[in-house]
Amino acid sequence: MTLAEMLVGVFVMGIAGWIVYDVYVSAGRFSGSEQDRIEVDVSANRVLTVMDQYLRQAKSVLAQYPTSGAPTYTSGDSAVVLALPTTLAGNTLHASATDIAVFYRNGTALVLLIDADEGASSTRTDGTREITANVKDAFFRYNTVAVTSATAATVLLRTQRTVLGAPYTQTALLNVTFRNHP
Amino acid sequence: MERKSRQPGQSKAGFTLVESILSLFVVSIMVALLVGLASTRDVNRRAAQRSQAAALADEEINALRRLDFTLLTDQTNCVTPSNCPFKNVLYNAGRWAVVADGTAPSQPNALELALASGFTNTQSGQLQFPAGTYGDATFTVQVKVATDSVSNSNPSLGWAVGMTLRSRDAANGYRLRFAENDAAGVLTDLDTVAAGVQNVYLEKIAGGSATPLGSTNVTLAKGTWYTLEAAITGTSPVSFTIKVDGTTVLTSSDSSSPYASGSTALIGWNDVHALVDDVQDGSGTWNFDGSTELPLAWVRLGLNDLPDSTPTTLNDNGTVEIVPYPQPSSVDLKKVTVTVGWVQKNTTQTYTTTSLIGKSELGL
Repeated sequence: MTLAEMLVGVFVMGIAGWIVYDVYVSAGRFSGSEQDRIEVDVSANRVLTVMDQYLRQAKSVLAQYPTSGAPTYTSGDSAVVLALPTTLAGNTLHASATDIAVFYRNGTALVLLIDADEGASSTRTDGTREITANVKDAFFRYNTVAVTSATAATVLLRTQRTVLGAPYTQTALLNVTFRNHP
Repeated sequence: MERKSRQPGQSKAGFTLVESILSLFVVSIMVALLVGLASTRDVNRRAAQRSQAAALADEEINALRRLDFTLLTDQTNCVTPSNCPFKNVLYNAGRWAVVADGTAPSQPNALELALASGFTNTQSGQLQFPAGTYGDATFTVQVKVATDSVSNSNPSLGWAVGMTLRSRDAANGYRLRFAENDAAGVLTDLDTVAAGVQNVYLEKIAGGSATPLGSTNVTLAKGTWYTLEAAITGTSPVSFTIKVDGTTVLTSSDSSSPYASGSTALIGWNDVHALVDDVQDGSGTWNFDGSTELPLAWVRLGLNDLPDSTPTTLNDNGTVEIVPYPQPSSVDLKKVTVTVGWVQKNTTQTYTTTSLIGKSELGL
């Protein structure tokens, strides 16, 4: 091999190596961005899966919770207060007792608040938990003019995350009929 | 046998076997990486559309459960989508966006319905008001029809704008339309039944059939902002008061099985390009000035958001087959099969779900 052939060979190998490295880096970046997009989609589905469970169990929508004191959550287009039949051990429902579930937004998080009727031996646990943190918007609609008369609710959820420097937004829909509506 | 000697500077011709194999190996790795990237994006897009189709199908099943059982009339022969429409849900249509408009009553933005093309005697756009259901309410909207909207005295071709009121779905509700009537002489007669020429028309849609409730004649030209108001009150009868720029132009009522509540939507008719501002529904005013993004309160996901091959036919991406179950003579149980279809890469995709709905509303 002459010096010229070796130099040409090294030059060609260098270009080929740079191309392979660039493809590898791009693939990694693309994979990461697709994972971020998937995370936005999964966030929306995760929220709706959780909400679906509570909405299906609901008896009705309450006007607000708590009835006195602060902070107060009011059922409307940005939050929903649900009356749920109290669940007992053995997966049975209490005939009359009610647990409360509130979905509301706190910044970019969607939060679930539970107030269980401990006196009726509810198996639910009091507390607040954040369901997901990528929420841009959440909008609640009801199938009646008065929210407290609603027998179904529609949730429109927008989750968002910055992917490759630009916002990526996913919109998801959930429509549920209350199965325990009297 | 003579042997040719290799001259200085003369390189060997061709590649060795090892070199060829290595080259092919490197090229195949690069091709595989690139193909993998492209297919990943396709898979994600397909999954997102399928997820949306599933949500729409579930929404329709829930809507059918809430419907009075007597309204679950049998629907078969769903190869023709118009035979098996979705019931008890209303979907948006058309390209709506918040745009900057120097003439908007509330600066700087207005809500735009982009110019539709190819629509004949049919709705080309629909955007539902934020609340899920309205009873007694007064709806006010400022509207300007752009000059590139298609004018025609034939109501099947000329533009119109308006609202649907107390709508249960596309086949049931009240529809109010305003068509063209300007000094240049283009007058679109919407009420071909009444004597004279009327460009403001209120009708009741029941089971897909229209019944006139009233009509009148008002000056309405392209390129000018008008304030349109529709007040709907009562349940039996239902009363209507329609105003243009603060002047009452039409009053009417419906006492024959009237609709007590339902969705309200802005509508475009035929090939229209319209701008909307300062929308009021009694609970708030939207001037769309805070952002160029459509507020979530106005966002809906529906059948017309899925890509299809017939963009000038609305709501044809979904069908609902309703048949008695388990026998044709059954009266207390219906089997409903909801199918949502969309087009991806020139191939029709479908999502289907089936459920039983009983007269006692204990759906299985």
